[in-house]
Amino acid sequence: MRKPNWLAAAVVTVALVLPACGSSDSNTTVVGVVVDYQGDLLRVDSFVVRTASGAEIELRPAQNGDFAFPLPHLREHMTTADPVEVTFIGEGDSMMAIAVSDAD
Amino acid sequence: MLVRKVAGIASLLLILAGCGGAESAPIMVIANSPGTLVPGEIRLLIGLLDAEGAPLGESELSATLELYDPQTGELATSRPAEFLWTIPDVRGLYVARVHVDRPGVWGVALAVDGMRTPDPVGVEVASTAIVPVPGDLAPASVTPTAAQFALEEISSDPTPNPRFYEHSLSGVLGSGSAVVAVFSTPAFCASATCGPTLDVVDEAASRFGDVDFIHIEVYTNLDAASFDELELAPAVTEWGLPSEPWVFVMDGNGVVSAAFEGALGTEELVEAIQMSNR
Repeated sequence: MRKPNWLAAAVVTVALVLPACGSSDSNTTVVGVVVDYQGDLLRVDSFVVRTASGAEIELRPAQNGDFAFPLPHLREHMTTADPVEVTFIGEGDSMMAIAVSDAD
Repeated sequence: MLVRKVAGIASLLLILAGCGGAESAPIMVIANSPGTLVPGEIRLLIGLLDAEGAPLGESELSATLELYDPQTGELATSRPAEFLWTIPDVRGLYVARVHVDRPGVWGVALAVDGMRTPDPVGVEVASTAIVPVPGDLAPASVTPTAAQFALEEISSDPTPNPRFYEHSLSGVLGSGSAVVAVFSTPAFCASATCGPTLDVVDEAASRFGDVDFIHIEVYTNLDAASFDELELAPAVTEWGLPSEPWVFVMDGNGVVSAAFEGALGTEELVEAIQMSNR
């Protein structure tokens, strides 16, 4: 599927909103809804969470992360607009999700 | 409740009207998986969010889906969109059915009570689908039954309906009766708020004693030590499913007559079964 226009600006948005994350070791926890999902039923390549501040954060799952459910379940969250809580850390130019759970 | 609902409608109209500046414009999310839509009638799942990511939508407001031509960008057609509560009185999605005549990246916009979302969002209609679509012969997958396994081994539903595990899909497809196949994993919805698909199917099943209903768990080893070790059920692979949940309705010849990805309403499922069971 062609990515929506807003997705192209996601990384820029994150860079503006969360400038400390690019090179920091500190964790950030946000609550938001999944607005894009790349992957299948066994693996997630990346997903995008839109937070209460309006930031869109593109995340890749960390290996051995603390996930409350199989990450492919995020696709179902997207189809129901059910919010998730994500803890992530900046790693180079990308954000790595190290913990994911239901927000409710 | 009434006050909250009225406030919700007012907020939605203000956002759609553009009050508060461009940053308050609603966001539209097409929830269908890539590769699942092909020319013909397509069922679009559309999430509408405000700038803060909170879900928007009200069943009381009339909504219209606008479809824009992939080549010209001009409005090709518009169809009514219905609001489907995925969590009653909390959040939901718009569902619209529209006919497309060829593959391409079509533009989609939503107009609610006469006011429309900003720029159309692209949705890809492929030339061939990765999942069975209406008109296809359904894969006759062998699925586990209660005669072979304890229910807790083949269903993560905390209150499984034994009827859903009486037969293998392979044993009922094409037997002259309509069949409903549900692919879902209730266990992984810890909040118990997302997609009560089996509840919807349960309700529909209570109205059709002559239709076979089969629930297929998406993963075979729900007791795996880690999520990385989960394995897909053979039927999920045979059906090519990229996501869950899915509900398929087949006619008495085993031909797919309806396919639903994600959330669905009881009435649209009942209607699909009635059409297949004639």
